[in-house]
Amino acid sequence: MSFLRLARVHTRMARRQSALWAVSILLTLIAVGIALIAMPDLAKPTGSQVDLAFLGQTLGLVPAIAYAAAFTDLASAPARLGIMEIEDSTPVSPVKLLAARVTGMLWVMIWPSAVALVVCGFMQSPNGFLSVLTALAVFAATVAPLAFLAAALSAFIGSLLPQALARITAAAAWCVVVCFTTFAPMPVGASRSKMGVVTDAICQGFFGCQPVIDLDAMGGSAAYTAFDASLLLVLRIALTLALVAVAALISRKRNFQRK
Amino acid sequence: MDIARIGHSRLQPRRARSLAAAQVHRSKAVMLAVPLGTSALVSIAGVVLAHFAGREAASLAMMLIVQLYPISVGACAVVALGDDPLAELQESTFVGFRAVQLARLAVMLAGGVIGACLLFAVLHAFGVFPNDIGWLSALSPIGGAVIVVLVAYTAVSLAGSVRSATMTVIAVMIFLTLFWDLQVPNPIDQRQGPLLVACAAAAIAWFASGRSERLLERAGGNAQ
Repeated sequence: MSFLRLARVHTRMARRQSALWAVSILLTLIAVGIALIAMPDLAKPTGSQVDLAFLGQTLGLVPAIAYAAAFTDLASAPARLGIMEIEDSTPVSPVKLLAARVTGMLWVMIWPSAVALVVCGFMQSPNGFLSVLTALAVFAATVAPLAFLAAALSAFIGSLLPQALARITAAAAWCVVVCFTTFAPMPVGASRSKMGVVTDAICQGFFGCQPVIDLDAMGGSAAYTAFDASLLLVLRIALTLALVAVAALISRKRNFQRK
Repeated sequence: MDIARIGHSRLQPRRARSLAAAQVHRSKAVMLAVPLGTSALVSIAGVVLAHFAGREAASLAMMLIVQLYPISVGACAVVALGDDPLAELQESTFVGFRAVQLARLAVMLAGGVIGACLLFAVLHAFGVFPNDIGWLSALSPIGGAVIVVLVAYTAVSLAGSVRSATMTVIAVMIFLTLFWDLQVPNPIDQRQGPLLVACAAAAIAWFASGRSERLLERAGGNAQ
């Protein structure tokens, strides 16, 4: 069975859970709201690709906290359902099966993000389609890899730990990554403080964002080149694939241990 | 069979206490140990940061680290309320599914509030609680924990599955953390609106869970 067909089957299974639609739209709205607060020009003709890249980063990081918490049972569900023997007797490798499961689930969850980006791109240039193409590029370079990385991380942690602990650990791990790569707290006045948002290397290298997006004092040229951005993208994809492979192999191995 | 009398007997204090004790015995790890453990870990992180990085830097870092506590309470609440097949089995006994869920909700609320109090007390004592304006700031973590548990109760009752319920809880947390708390700094205003909404939602979920068959059909999808 080819990978795409397998992924399509899992997409169909995920599509049946109507709550997933509602939650993913809710998460997308939250991310778009955050982006609109930081970037008021996002959906106007005065907006630029910097705004789109920032929206892409928000859409990649914020809903992924929920993906990290929710998808811990992707790898370990067969054992809990008692169907791992059936899965093991099919001529499909566990890695391929888990990858198809992640792809199918995200294929359902990720549509609202893509729609939000394309709509913002369209609002920026009602006559030309260049910014719509930029929006699609942002989606492919930023949103999709981050969503897959979060889901793979979640499946990996879920294959190691019991469910409640795994959900907390995965969400915490993603939050820690997000917090320490994206937010830089900066004091404003005496006792209050404000979060500065750091753009990642992909946004800087490919789309020309500033290092800290909403603090003009630290503005200037981007610190990363397109080469750094491609390197980071390749690293992200490789890490995702490695996590999926390890999660699938671990959970398949643990399925057949005596308890 | 007098349904009303059975329904009345559920509310006797002694029975309620033994029901709660049974739920604590069944899943104390998820309902009490993990929230309290997370609270202790966050407190220790605050103390260590205050010692090594200084009070100002620690207070800024705690703005982010403190948010791990409601997230962990929410994840635990979803697992405790929606991931235990034995809770569904109770519907076939005279206790009923709704009473068991309510007992678990009460225990989760108690654990979450105690953990939040502990967290605030330690961080306040070391002066690293973010945007601290005195004892009134304790409302912020306590209210956050209560809101997240009530949202988890609602989500488990109304959403299709544990997976969707977890996502709903995290989505609400993200909304509160990244939107609401930053716009509304005063602890009372910050918590009373969301708390009212969460209470109303939980009440609706409580009434809806009277239709137990439909609820069980939904809550039963453990695997998804």
